[in-house]
Amino acid sequence: MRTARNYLRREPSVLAAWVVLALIVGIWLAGTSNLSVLSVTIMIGQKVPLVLASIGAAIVIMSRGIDLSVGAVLTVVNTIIAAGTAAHGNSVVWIGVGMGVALAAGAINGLCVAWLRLPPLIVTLAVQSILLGVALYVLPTPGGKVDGWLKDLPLLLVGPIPLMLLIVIAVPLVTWYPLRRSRFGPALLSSGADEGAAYASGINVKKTVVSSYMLSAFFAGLAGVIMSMNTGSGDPTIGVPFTLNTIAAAVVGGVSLAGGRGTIAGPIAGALVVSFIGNLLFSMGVNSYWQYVVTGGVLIVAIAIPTGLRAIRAGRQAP
Amino acid sequence: MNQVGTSGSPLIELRGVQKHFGGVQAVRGVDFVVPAGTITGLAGENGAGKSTLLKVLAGLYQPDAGEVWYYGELQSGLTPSLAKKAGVAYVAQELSLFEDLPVSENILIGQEPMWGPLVNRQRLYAEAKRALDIIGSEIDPDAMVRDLAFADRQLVEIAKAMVGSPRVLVLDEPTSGLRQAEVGRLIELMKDLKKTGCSVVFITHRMGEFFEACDRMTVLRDGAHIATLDIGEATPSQVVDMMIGRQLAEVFPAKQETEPDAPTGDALVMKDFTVHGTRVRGVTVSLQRGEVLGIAGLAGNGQTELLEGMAGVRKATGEYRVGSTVGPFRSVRSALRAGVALVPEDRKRHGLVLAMAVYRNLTLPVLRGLSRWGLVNGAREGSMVKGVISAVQITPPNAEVPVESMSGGNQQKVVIGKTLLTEPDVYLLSDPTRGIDVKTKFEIYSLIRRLAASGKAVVLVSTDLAEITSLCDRVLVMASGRVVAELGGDYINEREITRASFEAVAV
Repeated sequence: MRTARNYLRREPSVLAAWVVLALIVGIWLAGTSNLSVLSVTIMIGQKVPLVLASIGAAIVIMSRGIDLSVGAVLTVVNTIIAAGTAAHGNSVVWIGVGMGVALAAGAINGLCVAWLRLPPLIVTLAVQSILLGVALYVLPTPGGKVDGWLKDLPLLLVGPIPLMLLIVIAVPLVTWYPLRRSRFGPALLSSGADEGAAYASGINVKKTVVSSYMLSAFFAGLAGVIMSMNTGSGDPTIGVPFTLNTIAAAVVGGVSLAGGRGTIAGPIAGALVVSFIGNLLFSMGVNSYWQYVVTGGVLIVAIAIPTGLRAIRAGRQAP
Repeated sequence: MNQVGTSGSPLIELRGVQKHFGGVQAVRGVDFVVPAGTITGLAGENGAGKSTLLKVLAGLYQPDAGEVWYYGELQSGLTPSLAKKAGVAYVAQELSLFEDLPVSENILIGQEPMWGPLVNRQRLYAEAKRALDIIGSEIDPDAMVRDLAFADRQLVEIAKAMVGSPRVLVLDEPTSGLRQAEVGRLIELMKDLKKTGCSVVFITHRMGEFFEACDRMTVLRDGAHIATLDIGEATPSQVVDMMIGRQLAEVFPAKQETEPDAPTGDALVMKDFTVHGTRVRGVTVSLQRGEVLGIAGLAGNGQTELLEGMAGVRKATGEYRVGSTVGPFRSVRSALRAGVALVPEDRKRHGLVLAMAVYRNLTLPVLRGLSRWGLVNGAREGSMVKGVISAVQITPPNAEVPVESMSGGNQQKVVIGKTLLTEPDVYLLSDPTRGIDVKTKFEIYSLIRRLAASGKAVVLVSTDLAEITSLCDRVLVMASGRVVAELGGDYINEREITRASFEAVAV
């Protein structure tokens, strides 16, 4: 009870993000008549990668960093699974290889930022470039394949509930929640808020920052695995639009780009907002070029909400 | 771990500690001993090296030379977390709390009670509550630090130090933000700790607190150890004398005759002036043309913030009139238009665009006046720059080099020159000679006097008392955001100023 109350007091913009999401989904549902269990299941599956990748991006932003390699990590994992399975079979092994590469990329990001003190924007941009090169080497053109049973997973229902919906709920619960409740939680937020003060409080800031980038890569890799299941093949350009959407999702969900504050429930709602805008506009029959324009506009409004809430809070404090 | 040292062997000993920052020697070979079961006060003027010494003691700074001994063991590569593990708890002057974490997580950060791999929330709450109880505070451990008042944040910081039962508690000016009753409770707490054989090292700027709380006192001046004495054998005035010491041989220009045709009258009138988001409250001042008004006080008592409020940097309320223009100003631009210009405290961050050439730094605020159809008139700019460079004596007079390649003294002259070009009636100077050599200081002092002689008004904030006493016609002393004394004539001397700033007790 105390925890829940604290949670909202800490971050009222989380509530705001979910309200915005409910509005968008509500309008979309009202305007969409021919929903089947299958189409809803597929649609949920399509949203999972962005949700997972946004969790990782948000963790890095909380440490006052930024991760521009999210989309490329996702792509590399996807191409490794697709090309590997096509050549040698057994997707599970290639999922393992892909995740290994993802974690290595995250470690490079983290080490460059924490130990070499290089700017995260450039480090992760460079790592993105390297990874996209690797992806093209592994799979020069779209293709490859994924084991059949994996392809069927996004369509699977557990009782009446789509498996992918369970994954969206379960993954944050079994990964982020324990992390936040462990020492890593306060270490992450304090390092992001004030590195010097965190160091003076005995926090291992470097380890915390490296961990945040590795977590980001882990979630991006997981997103790549789900993506491979969804498409049943590989594509060396698949992840490009993801990177900036994950950052948008984090900010819409109330994670401060200045670091030191944020939740994961917020970015999850943010990711769903970002992707549901597309569904909504499509179902309204909006032209594809207008979709881009409106998406941008809605994003600005959605980001203005947490920023505005914060300004109001800060204003009330002024003596 | 919990055994208590006998009174013979000190808990902490610093030997020959030296520490410099850039060209400034902050601590010059200081020996400092913390015996068991004592409360030691550390006294000294601004910049005497008190905080630096304590940061070396607590592992935040590595000394350039010298040794740190804990419990008779030499410490090398000391870090804050090692110091804390060894039972040395340090509370910094500048608060180091995380606004977006609750009080409980702040108090136990880095040493949370665990439940397997997870933080044990129940115990976290209970232990935070216990630490707050020790210092007699009723702050809710679940409250967000962001929502706490300044004094409560200070208390949380002290509670944080109490976790893990420290053997040595190091408090760098803990009382400046506290309310009167809380100061009393803190001193009680220090005395309780002493009874258990622990020791406290304590900086304050209030003389009374030294004599109320401490057993012994160490006085630092200009980074050097001056004396350590038992409180019984010290008197307040003697301590003040030791803090001031003999004056450095600095030359100050004589006050000049006012030019006959210089304008006179009120330059600025301010009544009940309050600067938002700071402690500056209810300041009433009037300033004559041709006057140099000094604002003295211990660092961080609102002097800088007052100037920022006057210059439109910070939002302010109250009656405020400059010439015929009524303030407070909502932007630096409107303050400039009314004739008030600030030479900011941090010249590198607020005064200069470091990578830009000297001439462009100088003319940046007046480019509009130099431009026609959006293009800068190079010839006029050139002659203007030449005039200013000779007025403020930038040497060598090279206008093309980037400012970052110049010495600190020249950089400061560029900032002042830039201000001259905006032709204000009121100059607000915030510590204009910080980190500057003596010769340049003299040139800046002469310039200040010349400005006053030509009918400009100057407000000078400085933590250098010699500067204040030698340059100013009138001096205000600030403490806790208020003006606590106004000194004129023969009362402008270091003794009076030091007395006023130390005796003033915040309410």
